[in-house]
Amino acid sequence: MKPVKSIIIVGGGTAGWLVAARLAAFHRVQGEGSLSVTLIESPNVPTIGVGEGTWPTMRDTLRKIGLSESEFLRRCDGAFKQGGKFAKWTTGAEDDFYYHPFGAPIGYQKLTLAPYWSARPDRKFADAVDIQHQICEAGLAPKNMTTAEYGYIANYAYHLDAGKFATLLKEHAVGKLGVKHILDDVTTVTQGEDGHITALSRANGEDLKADLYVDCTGFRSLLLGDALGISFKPQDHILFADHALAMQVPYESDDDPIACHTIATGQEAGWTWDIGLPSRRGVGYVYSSNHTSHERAEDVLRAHIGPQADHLDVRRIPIRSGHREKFWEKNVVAVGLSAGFLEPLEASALLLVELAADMITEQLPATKEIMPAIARKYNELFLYRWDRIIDFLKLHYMLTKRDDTEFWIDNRNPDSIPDALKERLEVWRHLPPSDYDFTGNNEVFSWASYHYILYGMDFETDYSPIKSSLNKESLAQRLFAANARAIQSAMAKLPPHRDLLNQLKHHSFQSI
Amino acid sequence: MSNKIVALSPTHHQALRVDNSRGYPHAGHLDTTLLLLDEVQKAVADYCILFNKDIQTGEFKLIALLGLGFGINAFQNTIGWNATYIPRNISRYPFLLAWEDGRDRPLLGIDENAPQLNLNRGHALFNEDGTTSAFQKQMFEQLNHMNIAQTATQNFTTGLAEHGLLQALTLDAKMQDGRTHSIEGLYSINATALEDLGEQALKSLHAQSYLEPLFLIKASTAQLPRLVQLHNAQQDASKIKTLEIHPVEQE
Repeated sequence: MKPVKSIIIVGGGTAGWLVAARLAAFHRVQGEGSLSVTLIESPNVPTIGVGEGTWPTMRDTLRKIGLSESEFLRRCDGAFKQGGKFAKWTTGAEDDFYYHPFGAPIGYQKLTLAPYWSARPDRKFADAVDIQHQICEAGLAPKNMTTAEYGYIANYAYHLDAGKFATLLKEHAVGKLGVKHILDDVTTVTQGEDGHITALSRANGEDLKADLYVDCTGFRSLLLGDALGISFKPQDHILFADHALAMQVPYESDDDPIACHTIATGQEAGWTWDIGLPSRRGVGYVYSSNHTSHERAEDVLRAHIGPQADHLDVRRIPIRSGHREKFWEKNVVAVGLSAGFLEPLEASALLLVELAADMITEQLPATKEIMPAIARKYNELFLYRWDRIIDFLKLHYMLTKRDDTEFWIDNRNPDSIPDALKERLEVWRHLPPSDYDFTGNNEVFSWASYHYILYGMDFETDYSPIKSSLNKESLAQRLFAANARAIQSAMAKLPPHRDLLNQLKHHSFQSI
Repeated sequence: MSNKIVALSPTHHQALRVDNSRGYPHAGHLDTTLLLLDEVQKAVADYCILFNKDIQTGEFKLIALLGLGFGINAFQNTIGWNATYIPRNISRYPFLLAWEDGRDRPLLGIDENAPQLNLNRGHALFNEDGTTSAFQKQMFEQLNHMNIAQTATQNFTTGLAEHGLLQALTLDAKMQDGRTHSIEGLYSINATALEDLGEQALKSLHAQSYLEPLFLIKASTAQLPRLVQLHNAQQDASKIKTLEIHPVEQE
């Protein structure tokens, strides 16, 4: 029996350090019977470093690692995120927008409100069933200084500077959690006859050996892709974007409000993101170069930002939508960009890193003999998850009514839509998405998320065949009224987003 | 009633008197008032002493519970303040410290709209010759002491929080008319955490003279039934049938 007692993580961005920190917080890393956790990162290879969004799961992840929320926000130029605002995805009109909030529709355990809302849509769907549309439109934070650390009044996640996050994670992992850190290049990857990695050579000549190698080397996928030859499965026939332009836009004044949600705006050949951090906004354009030129894309981005963009530099990054055919092969598991990439429409990148870190940490193969079984399970799970994310992102595109450019027209082409998704939509025309549609133990997006997109985008439904089950009108009205009251009650307790972030510069949330 | 805070001056306030014979009606709607650490020993005779958080900073504050979230101060009725000890944050009224830019020492200020101010009854603010009265000097001294004591009090509450000795509570009332009413945002001493305190922590608390106020505060929850009794005796109050304390479970 060969116990798995040592792990080497290659690469020091957010993926590498999140995995390292999760492992070291969960397992004993020093003394008798400990797990050895080492991270090796190159002093030369730059990390991607963009303004990013997370999911609410990040609150739990930070807590599991032992980080203080207030310190995390201060160190990472962090802000709160209550969901996504999708503007100009359905008709492209100025007033065309909908929210995908993190809160679940009111009364979801008692009644599905979607068909009752459809019958009398006096306001946007998310506004009728949840409080966050109004809170975000008012620029309010999801909690106040008296709310406990990681606690909430409205459910939230974060916007953060990924580079600063990696630095904080590194300090914490090495300084407090006992992760061993090597700053050096990996020059050679040595494999045995059966393809398993037997050693990594450092630039200084030393060989490093471990029972498990975690590939966090970014797009390069040095171990999984290069050494083990696991190929990349492009998904650009479904999600067309192949480039991103990124800019950092300063606020005009120190008092400018900070959006408490990611703003994703539909454009000619893609969409622009706008992520508000306290010090600046991260604004960019994710686009398909098959539907526009790079010059035109830059014009669109600059026009979207306005005159402020005049003196600002823009960075262009090629992106490849897709993922590896599998993620865990032999004694290598890839996490982060080395596993795959999808456009950040629903901030799924860090979520996938968290989910990977969870499983690697909590299902760490006890022995080398059982590693293949764990790897098989891991691949099954994560391939399922990547597929569900692709489905969900495609949903945003395929429901468009825009026909002003080829990009939007092409997105409705059935050839670009996964079959399973097409079939589900036929069902959803008459029966709203429910738990029955999402039976996997490890779904990524819940039925509620599908509701927010479908009904936010005026998906055409016909509930006449199910009229017999729509007999709970008075409960529905009580729930809509309760939501309206909940909005007022929450807004009375919530400060403006920027005010709370200013308070956090000098004060911290209590742990209770 | 809005405040009108001004610095005291003999020219404007020569003839004014402060009459507290009818208690402190300005506090008639308060649910809580801030307490200072050195008041705990006396305040425990009348009040349930708890903690809440400052809305701006999130810091824990030491408070006496005066009401149960109905906007009715159970202690202040038409006759006066129904307790043997009056918290200094109440009795100092209508005085407060006024900080002016450029001065590192405060002035004594007054709320000109205070109902206690009148020309006939109560303590004079100034003597006939225009000099400061003994009463005014005493109030200024009291306020300066309170200002200094705030730091010691903050250190105490922060210290308790750092030792993990606080816990969040909900007070759940069942009204006589069948409705329920909950009060949140209050904190008390976590009895389990207190029992589990290690030697080092106990020594440290003892050295800072925190043990006595800590145990007195813990014991003061026994004042809650009395608070219910006083609340129910107030004319406009909806009557409470039962009041239960529920610690908020920590994950």
